[in-house]
This record gives sequence, C-alpha cells and structure tokens, in this order.
Amino acid sequence: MTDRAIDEYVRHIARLQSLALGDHELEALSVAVADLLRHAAKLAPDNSYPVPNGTVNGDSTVAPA
Amino acid sequence: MKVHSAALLTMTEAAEADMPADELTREVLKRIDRLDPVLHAYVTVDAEVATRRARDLDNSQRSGMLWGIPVGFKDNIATAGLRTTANSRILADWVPSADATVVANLRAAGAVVVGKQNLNEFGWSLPAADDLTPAPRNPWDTSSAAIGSSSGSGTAVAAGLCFGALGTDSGGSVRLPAANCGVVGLKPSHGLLPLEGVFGVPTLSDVGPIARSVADVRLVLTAAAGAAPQNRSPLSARDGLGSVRLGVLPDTDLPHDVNPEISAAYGEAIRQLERLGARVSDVRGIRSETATAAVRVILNAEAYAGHSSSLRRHPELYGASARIHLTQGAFLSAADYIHALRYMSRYTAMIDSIFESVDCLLTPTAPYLTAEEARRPDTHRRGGGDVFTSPFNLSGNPAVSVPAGFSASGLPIGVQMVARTANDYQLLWIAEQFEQATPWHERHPNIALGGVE
Repeated sequence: MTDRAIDEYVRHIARLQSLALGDHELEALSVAVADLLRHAAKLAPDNSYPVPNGTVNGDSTVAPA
Repeated sequence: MKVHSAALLTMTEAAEADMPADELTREVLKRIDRLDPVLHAYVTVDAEVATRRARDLDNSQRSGMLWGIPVGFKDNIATAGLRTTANSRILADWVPSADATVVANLRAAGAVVVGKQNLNEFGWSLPAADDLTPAPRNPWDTSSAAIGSSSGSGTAVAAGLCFGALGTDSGGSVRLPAANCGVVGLKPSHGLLPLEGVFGVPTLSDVGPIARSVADVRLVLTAAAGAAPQNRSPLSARDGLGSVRLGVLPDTDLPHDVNPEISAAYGEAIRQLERLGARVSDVRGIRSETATAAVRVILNAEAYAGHSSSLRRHPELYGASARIHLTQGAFLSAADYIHALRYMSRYTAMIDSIFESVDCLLTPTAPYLTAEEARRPDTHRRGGGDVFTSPFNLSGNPAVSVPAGFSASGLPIGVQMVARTANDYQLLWIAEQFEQATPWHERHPNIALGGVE
C-alpha cells in the first residue's frame, strides 16, 4: 500500500472502530501501521492455491485437482 | 568491592548475616527517600505497611526462602491493598482487592513488599512528558534513561532500592533493563510463573525476576513459582562447563548496527566460557527478521484486544505514546494474527531442533548501550532494540541476561544465555559459572555507593 492508501485505511478503520483520534495522532499512527503491515506481510504465505491443514506454508506442490 | 550498605548485599549474604527484617527494610526505605527523587524507580512506595510487616516478621519464627527480604514489583502486577497503575492515568487510583499469584507467593516466602516499580505505560509505549510517573534514570549515568519496560525494577535493584524484583517480559522487558543496569534478569520458560493478576499479552509475556546475582534470581524464581519447579537437575557440576555445548552467533549473524563495545564484550564472554571448558560452535538462523515480525504482530494484536474497549471509552486517560502503541493492533487482520501464530510454531520447532546439538545459546542481550539509542524512531519501529531477546518470547525458551562488561563511558553490558524450554535451573547454573568467573557483578553504580556519579 502507498502512504496515502495507508493513511486512508487508518482513518477508515479508526472511524469504524469508534477510535477517537486527533489528526496528529492519525498521522503518527499511519507511520506506525505502515511499519506493522510491512512486518505482517513477511508472514503471509505465498501459495498460488489454497492449502489444506498440515501442509507446510509455501508448499507449491498443492494445486487444485 | 567492599559493600558500604546492607541494601547492596545479595539476598544470600543478608540471610547469612542473619540481619533483622526491620533493619534491611529501614535501610532500603531510607535509600529510596534519598535516591528516588533522582532515579524515579518507584511509582508507589508502601513505607508504612513494609515497616509494619518487617517488624511482624522479626517477632515471628524465621521461615521462608525470602524471609525479611525487601522486594518490589513492576506496577503492572496486582498487589492487594496497594495501588497498581501500570504507570497509566486510567488506573491511577486502582487498588486491587487481590494479589497476583506471584505476589502472594513471594509474600508467603517471607518477602517484604516495599513498593511498585516504574515502567513504560502498560509495558508497551515509550516514556513521554505526559507519563503518570517520569521515566526511570539509569543509575550508572542519570543523564540517560533506563531501558524499559521494567526499567524501574532494573534501576531499583542496581541502586539498592530493593534486593530483588519481579518484572514482565514480552520482548525483552526484563532482560534489557537488567543488562542496561548491570544486574541479572531472567525470562523463565513461558508459563513457568503464573500470569494471574498481571497485565501482559498472553502468548508472549512472562513474569521474570531481576536481582544482583544469579543465585538471588534463582531464589526469587523458586519463591514466585510457589514451589520448586520440577526442572532443577543441573548438568554435571563435577565436569564444570566441560559438559556444556555452547552455541554462538557467527559475526555474520550480528546486526550491522550493534554497538562495537557490545560486540567486543560478547566476543570476550565466548572466550571466557571456552576457558571454563564449554565446547563452542556457531549456530545460524536464530536472529530472524521474520521472528521479529511475528512478535510485533502478536504483541500488537493481543495488546489491542486487551485495551480496545477502554481505548474507545477513555482515550484521554492513556498517554500519547501508549495510545498509539496500543491502538496499532486494530489495523491488523485476523489472518495476519493467524499467520504470526503459525510462524511461531515453526520457529519454535526450529529452535527446539537447535537444542538437540547445543545445551545453551549465547547472544548479546541488547544491541545498544543506551535507551536513547534504542528509542530512535527508525530503530524502535523495526524492533531493532529487541532483536536478540524477542525471538525467545516467540519460542518460549528460558533466557537470562548476566553482566558481561562495561563500555568506556561506564555503562553496563549484558550477554544473554538461552536454554531448552523447561531447563530454567540448568540455564541458571551455567549463568552462575560465568558470573562467578567474572568480576562484573561485583560493581555498583557510584550513586548507590553514596558518591557523585
């Protein structure tokens, strides 16, 4: 996500979650959330297809029948 | 070094000297009065109740492994009848009706509770001007803050404002302040000490002892557990460290920005353990950006889960830094959290497999010498300060920081030893061999000796 997309995402979720945050806090939070989502992205599996339970994360041998 | 105050003895030395509880407690309270206006180690001091308790103990039969020993608790651990704030305005007036289990266990062992120790708000924020209590200072250099989040406990133990403390550790918050203040800090195996009555994140947090010697840490651990845990058998003491297989990080696995004085102390600790007979081999893959990422995701998701309701209702009662830190988890997805938990399982299995070929891992504890270095915005956001410690919150292994030297500027440096899960006592035995062969634990900060630091 771009910085602007993160900024919009943070404002949108904050509104939905009823979090009362000032503009300067939303700006600081956008920076922190961008970092956090970069951390989270390192953990996401990179499979082309869904994997059943017990399959090693990233196992590319699993494919639709 | 000659000890000038009874408050700087170890617990074992105080017990051997058969010192009355009242004398120890009065000495500690006197030092808190004198030094804490500078050090800010305590949020709340319970002088009256502590004095009464000490006198009651002196009038009873000596029993319990911590009989008459003045201790403190990080202020995110509930104490019956004594306010517990987590250094947050939202709990500024909260007086729990019941002790956390670890507090009850230490009281049952004869400890005297002198007060509640300062921390980063809820253990997950950076010190700021709007904190309920100003941030603790490092007793070795009061121009510098102490590294958190159990910074009050590290400061209090090093300065002789208590004999031992219990803090909490979700990414290094016991081990980092221990290293930064020149004392010993243990994160036990995950779940070894009960978490009832403690603020933390359930997947990563542990209660852990901080004290001035490994032997004292072992005493507090055993007392806090309520009964001696089952994992007490050491490696063969007869062979010294000759039976210990020690895994160390190759130079290429040290982050590029580790302070060079810390790298040098780490190298010297390896050589010292080799001289004691340990068989050293390189171990790769422990320090992992992915592990740091998983800790960040789990920590933030679980912290937000604990605070979401009160963040909506009373956001103004949190400090500005805590509000940002505790809110971040709202922006993670359930899938992010599950991916992190799945990674945790794989990382734990990888660490378990390493312990098939080594008995103990050795790393630096902190990559930086000062809180100011660790809190640089870029460093903090990428988890740079807990790069060596937080992986073992993910894997659940016991990990202890022991003093391993000083910088040219006089700041303490620690090394971290890690063992197989449930081998806490074996780990402490190895740490004690290192401690007793080195002089670092014998030093005290000038401010604790009554001098001008």
